[in-house]
Amino acid sequence: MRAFTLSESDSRTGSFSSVYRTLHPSLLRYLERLTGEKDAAEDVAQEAFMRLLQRPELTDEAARLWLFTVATNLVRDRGRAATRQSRLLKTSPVPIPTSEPLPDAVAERADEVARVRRALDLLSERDRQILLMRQEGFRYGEIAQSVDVSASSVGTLIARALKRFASAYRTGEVS
Amino acid sequence: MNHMDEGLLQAYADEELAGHARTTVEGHLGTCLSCHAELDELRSASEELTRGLLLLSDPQAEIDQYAVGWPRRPGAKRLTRMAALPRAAVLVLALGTAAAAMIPGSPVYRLINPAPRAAQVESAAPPSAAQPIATSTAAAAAAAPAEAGVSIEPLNGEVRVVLRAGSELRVRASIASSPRAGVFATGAAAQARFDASPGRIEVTGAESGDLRIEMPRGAVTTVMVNGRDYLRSTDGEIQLFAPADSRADAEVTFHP
Repeated sequence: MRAFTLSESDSRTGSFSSVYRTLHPSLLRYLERLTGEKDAAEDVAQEAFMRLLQRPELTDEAARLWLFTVATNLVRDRGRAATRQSRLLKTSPVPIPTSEPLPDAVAERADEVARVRRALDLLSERDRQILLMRQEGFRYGEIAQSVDVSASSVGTLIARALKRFASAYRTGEVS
Repeated sequence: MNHMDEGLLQAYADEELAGHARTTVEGHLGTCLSCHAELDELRSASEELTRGLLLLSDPQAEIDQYAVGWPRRPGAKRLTRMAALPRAAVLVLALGTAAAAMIPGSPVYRLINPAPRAAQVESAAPPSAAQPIATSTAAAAAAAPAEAGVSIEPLNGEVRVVLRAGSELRVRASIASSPRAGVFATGAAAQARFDASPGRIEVTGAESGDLRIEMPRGAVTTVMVNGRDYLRSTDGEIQLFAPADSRADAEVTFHP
C-alpha cells in the first residue's frame, strides 16, 4: 500500500499531486451534488485537500474515504456556522434565465433539474451522504465507517434512502 | 414464505454479497415474486437517482443536446428521459436531411485520463459546437455515433462493469494488456448511457449492437449483467458464471 506525503521528497510530492488529480474531480462532483452550489463545493474541496496535507500518514486508499468524510463534515459545519449558509445542505434554487421566454425543451429540462434538487433536499443529511457516496463507488464498509454505523446496516439505510428519494422525486414529498 | 430483508436485497443489487449469502438470495429470488418486485423497485429507484444526478452535474449539456438533437458536447452525459414529442420532431427533421448531410471524419473515442475523469462519456461523434444549430442538426444526425466508450483505472485492483442490456446485444469480453478497463460500444449500443466512477463502469440501455469489454490483466474485473454476475477475470483467467456463445483463453462472447 502506497503512502503519500508532502515532505521535501519530490517523488512524494508527486504522489500527492497524483492523489489530487485522481480524487479531486470525484470529490468536487460529490460536493456539488451534496450542496447544490458550485462555489461552496470548490471551497470545501480545497479546504479538505489542505487538511489532507496535514495527514501524511494516510495511504491513497485511506485518503479517499478520509477526504470525503472530512469534506462532508466541513459542509455540515458551514451549515451550522451560519444560518444563511444552511443552504449548503438545504435549498439550492436552480438558476433559470428569465430575460426571455424559455423554449419548452429548455424549460422542461430546468424543471426536471429543479425536481431532482428538491428531492435531494428533502432527504436527511445522512440519506444524502450515503446515496452520494454510493454513487461515487464507495463500498458498504467504507460508507459505514464514514457515517459511523455498522456495515451490516448500510444496505437497509441505502434501500430506505433510495425509496425516500424516489418518493420525493415522483411526488414532491418524502413518504 | 419468509421474505428477504430490503437491506439484503439492496446489498445483493449493489454486489455486496458473495458466496453463500449471494446464493441464498438468488435462490430465494427465483421462487419469490414479492421479493423480485421489491428488488425491481430498488433498482428502479437507483436508476432514477443516477439519471437525476447526471442531470444535476451537467444540465446545460443536456439542454444543448436536446435543442440540436445531436451531437452531444464532448463529455456530456447521456440521459434517456426526454419529452417524446419534441424528440420526435427533432428526429423527423434529422432523418429528412440526413441523406444530404456530410458525415464528419471517422468515429473516434477519447480515452479519459486521468481516472476520475472517467465519469465522462466519450462519444464518437466529433463536436460541431461552432456550427449554427440549423446546420448542426442535420449534419450531426447523419453522424450519429458509430462508437462510444469509457475507460477507467481499477480501484484497489478491482473493476466492476455493470450492464443493463437487451438480449440482442452481443458482448465480447477480453483480457487486455492495458492497465485501464474499458467498455466500448458500436452500432446501436453506442446509444446506451455510460456512467463511470472509480473502479466501476455502468452501461444502461444497450439493447442491441456490439459491446467490447477490456479487462486489465492486472486487475480483478467482475462483469455483472442484468443483476447477476456473468464472469470474472483474475490473473488473466476468465471465470464464467453464465452461458457464453464462444470462449477462448482470454476472450468470451455472449448475449445477455
